Order: sequence, then C-alpha cells, then structure tokens
Amino acid sequence: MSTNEKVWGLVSRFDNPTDILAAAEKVRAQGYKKIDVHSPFPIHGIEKAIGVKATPLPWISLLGGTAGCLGAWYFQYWTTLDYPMIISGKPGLLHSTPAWFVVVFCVTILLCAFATLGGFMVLNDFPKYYSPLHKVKGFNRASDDQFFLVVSAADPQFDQRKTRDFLAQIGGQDVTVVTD
Amino acid sequence: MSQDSYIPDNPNERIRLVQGGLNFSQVTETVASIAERPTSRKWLFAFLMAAATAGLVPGSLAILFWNGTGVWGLNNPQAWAWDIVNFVFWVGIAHAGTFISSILTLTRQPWRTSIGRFAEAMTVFSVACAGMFPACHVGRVWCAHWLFPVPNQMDLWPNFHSPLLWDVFAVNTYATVSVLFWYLGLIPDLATMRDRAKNAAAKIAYGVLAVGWTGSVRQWMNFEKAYQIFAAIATPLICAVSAVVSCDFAGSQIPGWHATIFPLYFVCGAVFQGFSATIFLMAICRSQLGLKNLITMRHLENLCKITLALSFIVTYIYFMEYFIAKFSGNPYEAFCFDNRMTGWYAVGYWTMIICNGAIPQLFWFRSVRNSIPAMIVIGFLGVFGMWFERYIIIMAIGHDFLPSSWEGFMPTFWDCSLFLGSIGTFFTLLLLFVRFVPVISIAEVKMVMPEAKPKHGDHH
Repeated sequence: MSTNEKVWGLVSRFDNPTDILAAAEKVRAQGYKKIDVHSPFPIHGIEKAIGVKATPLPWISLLGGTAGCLGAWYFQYWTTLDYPMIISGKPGLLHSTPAWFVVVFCVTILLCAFATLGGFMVLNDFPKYYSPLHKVKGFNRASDDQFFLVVSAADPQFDQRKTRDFLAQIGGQDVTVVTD
Repeated sequence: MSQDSYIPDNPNERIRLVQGGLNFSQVTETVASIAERPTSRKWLFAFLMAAATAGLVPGSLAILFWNGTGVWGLNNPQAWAWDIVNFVFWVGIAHAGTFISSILTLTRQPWRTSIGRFAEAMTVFSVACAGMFPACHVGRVWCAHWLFPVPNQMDLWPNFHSPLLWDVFAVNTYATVSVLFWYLGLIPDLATMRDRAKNAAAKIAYGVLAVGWTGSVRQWMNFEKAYQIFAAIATPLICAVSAVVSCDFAGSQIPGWHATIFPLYFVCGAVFQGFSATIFLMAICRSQLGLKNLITMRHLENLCKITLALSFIVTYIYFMEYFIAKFSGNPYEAFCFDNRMTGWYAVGYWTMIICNGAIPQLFWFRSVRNSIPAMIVIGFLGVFGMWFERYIIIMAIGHDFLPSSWEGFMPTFWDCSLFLGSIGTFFTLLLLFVRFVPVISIAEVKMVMPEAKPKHGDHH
C-alpha cells in the first residue's frame, strides 16, 4: 500500500443471499447510510434494506421516446412541406399523418432504446474500467457466487476499527480495508 | 443419460430449471468455461467451413456491384426475386430471439433465461444477414444512403408515404434495438468473464466491454429496470417489423399480395420460423457445448409447444388466404392461388404446407417433443418450409393481370452464391459468439434458481 492511498471503505463477504440481506438490514439499523451490496444477481428486497431510492431511468426513457415521437412526426411534416408531393390530397397535416405513423413509431422506439441504454450508463457512472474493489482479494467472486457488503469511508459513522468489528460480529467473513 | 430422462410434468411440482444439482459457482463454470477453454478441433473445423462459405459474399457482391442486378435471374415482372425472399427469410429467423427476450420477459416466464441469450445472438446475426440483401438490391449501391433522409443539393427527401421507406426505418430500428438489448443483457456476464480472466488481454477486453460492472444494488436496479423497458419497447417492435415488411407487398395491387391479412401472416410466420431455427440450433448446441443441465428437456419441450401453436396460426392463415381469394370472386386472386397449388411453383407450395402445417403436428406427441433427432429434423424443416413460403408469395408477381407479361424466375449462380454466403456469414458470427461470449445468461439463470431467493426469517 503506497502512502498516498486513503481508506476507501470496508468490505466483508457473505456466502448466501439470506445472510447478506439480514446483515444489510442490521448495518442500516445501526445508522450507516453509505453502504452497498455487490452480488452476482439482484437480491429481492435488498434495495429497501439498504435504502436505495427508485431509479429515475423510466423518466429518461420516456423523454427519449417522446423526443422520437414528436421529432419524427415534425421531421416528416417539415420535409413534406419542404418538397411537396401533391398526390392524393397530400400534403396536409391531417391527410398525411396516418402515413407517417410507422416512421413515428419506429423512431419513438429507437430513441427510447438509446435513452434507456444511455440513461443506464449515466446513472451507473459507466463506462469506467477501475474500481478500488477490484484490489480486494476474492472480490472477483462477486460475479460468481459470493455476496459483498461495503461500508464507505465517506459514511459519517465510519470508524475503521469499530465498523470492522461490527461487520465481523454480524457474520461478515474476510473483513478487509479497501484503499484508493 | 440421466439428466435427459424426462420426469412427467406434475402441474403442482414443476421440474427445476437448473438440473444436475448445480450451485451458483457450477452454473458460472458450466457456461463461462465454454468461452475459456482452448479452441477445439471441432469448433475450428466448423468455423473454417462457415468462414469459407461466408467467403462467397465478397465475390458475389463484387460481381453484383460491377455488373448490376442483371447477374441475378431477375426479369421484368420478377424485379426482386430471391433477394427479397432471402431478406424476409433472415428477418424471420431473427424473431425468436426478440420474442423470447421481450414477450416472455413481460409474461414472466422464468424458463426463458437459459435460452434467451443464444436466441438473441441469432437475432442480431440474422438481421445482419437480412440487411445485406436490400442494401445490395438497390443496384446503385453507392446511392444506398438515399434510403435515409440525408440533406442533398436537390432538396429531395424520401417519400415518407411509401411502405418501402417504412421498411428501411423498421428494419434499422429492429437491428439497432436488438443489438442494444443484447449488449445490455451481456454486461453482467462480461463482468463475470473479466473477473475470471486469466490472461491480461482477455481481462482488458472483457473489462472494457463490461463498462465497470461490479453488481452493486444500484447497478442491478438500473439493469432490471432497463431490461424491463427494453422488453416493453421490443414487444411492439417485433410485431411491427415483419408487419411493416409485409406492407411492401400488401401496399401493392398484385393478386396474391394485396391482402389485409399480410401483417399478421408475416409476423406469425416469422415467429414460427424463428422458433424452428432456435429448436434446430439449440438441440444441436446443448450436447455439443455440455449444457444439458441448463438447457433441459423442459426448455426444449416448451419451445416445441410454442412452435406447434404457431404452426396452427400459419396453417389457419394459409387456409384463410385461400378462402378469401376464392370468396372474393376476384378472378385474378382466385387464379393466383390455383396457380400456386398446381402451377409452376406447386412444389414450393406443397413443401410449405407439409413443412409448416403438417410436420409440426408431430409435436403433439410427448415422445417427439423429447427426441433430440426429431427436434433437429422438424426444426430444420420449419426453416426450410418458411423459405418456400416467402418464395411462393414473392413469385406471385410473375403471374398477374396480363398473361403477356407473365414470366417465371430461374436463379442464377450468383443468386445461389449470395444466399449460401449469407448462411455462411450467419454461422461464422454464431460460432464466434459461442467461442468468446457466454452463450447463456449466467446472472439470469442464477436469478431463477430457488437458492437466489432470500429465506425470510422473523424480520418480515
């Protein structure tokens, strides 16, 4: 460990979803705010246990979809006026709109998809390559079969010794200090 | 083999989706090791075969671009023969992947998890093959960007009232959304591959593609929400894409094409074909890749049942299309259908009826639904029959209102070589996928295992 590295948090390992859910609830009950759980699959109920608010992602998707819908409609309206093709009553707002439906529909979905993946990236602070957690020995099993509870050093209640003992006491294995 | 022996399905007691008593770690190992072990001779042989066949594409395209679409067997009424047949054919194969990952997600079918990834890969690669055909068919490929509304000095815009333009938007949206959906689902598994990687190159490659995934609560929340949204928007899209493709035909006035049933016809046909292709490839892959515990007979049986249901729908449409043609009293329509059954293309018509309507009926029998060789044969015939369905639909243009303009179609060497090349391309991409990417969604399979549910104690 080089001298300019600071303590980033404490990580402890659990080997099944039941234990980590119980542990997360206990850590939360103790008053810790900046905690996180890393697991190979989503654990039902964990977001409530550690107090993560619902994701705003659907609003971002809705925004993308709405932009696609209105944008595609207006674009077709504008191009039809820009170079009018006066066939079968067209152009005209009401006459042509039914024919534009397919493109409106497709662009709505297309932009909604981009917004969803883009929103997913932004909300998760992706893309990145590095995480201090990768330095923890055994953390690579977080994507295999182990479950990790992390208490951030930024938590007001964080105290390296006390927090460490507490994590060990509630059943956390291999409690490790993570530096960054 | 023991895990192949099928225990009768007691409705009260479903068979576990993961067999062989695998735990989380063994699930990871089973799937990830396929992409990690050294290249096998079998894979290399298959890859070289596929790549050699795919090698027909550049040559065929070079000849096509140099000479124009005349090198195909096109003639005056048959202006877009095999080209559009193959396009609709490949779009059809794509449909199973999206159907499994979107509609089966929304209807909460947990068994989809171990077959979704593979089927989605088929979607992505077959849409890529499909895109090849209309892009080349424009003849002057250097003007292919005119399909899109690109500002130009002539101040011209595409005709937004035309089904052919709708098709461009529908297929491109479908391709893009399929790729994004597929990639989203891959992210947690790419992180698994990164965490298991032994050498630096693999670690960096998977690490970059995994975009920093660590499986935190917030990441999983965003992931699940994003997945649901993708499933919700892909569901109408899958119904729309073949429906829009069918408007290329239904929007014309040619007998045999001008039918309101076409959108439904194309969508159901495409899903049937996609499921047939999935059964065919899945039945081969599960034993080759050692996935019998994850892709169980229950999975395959479910696929067979869906295929059977879809076969009924397409058969109903075949009859309904014929009935309406006769009932309409329109002599041109009636002739078109009689001509299909007894004329030049009768072989194609009856191949279609037998492969898509009759043979899938064998899936009524549990013994057939549990026989791998039977699935491979019936799955293949479903794909084969669906190619003929598009063939006989599209050939209808050769016998329209005016007998003096009638003309049949004979494919040339370059027709065949491009089609063969597209099959090679599909298998090349699929083999690369099998070699480097987890073929089953590892995280999603773990999610549906009973061990994944926290056992609630007294705190609830």
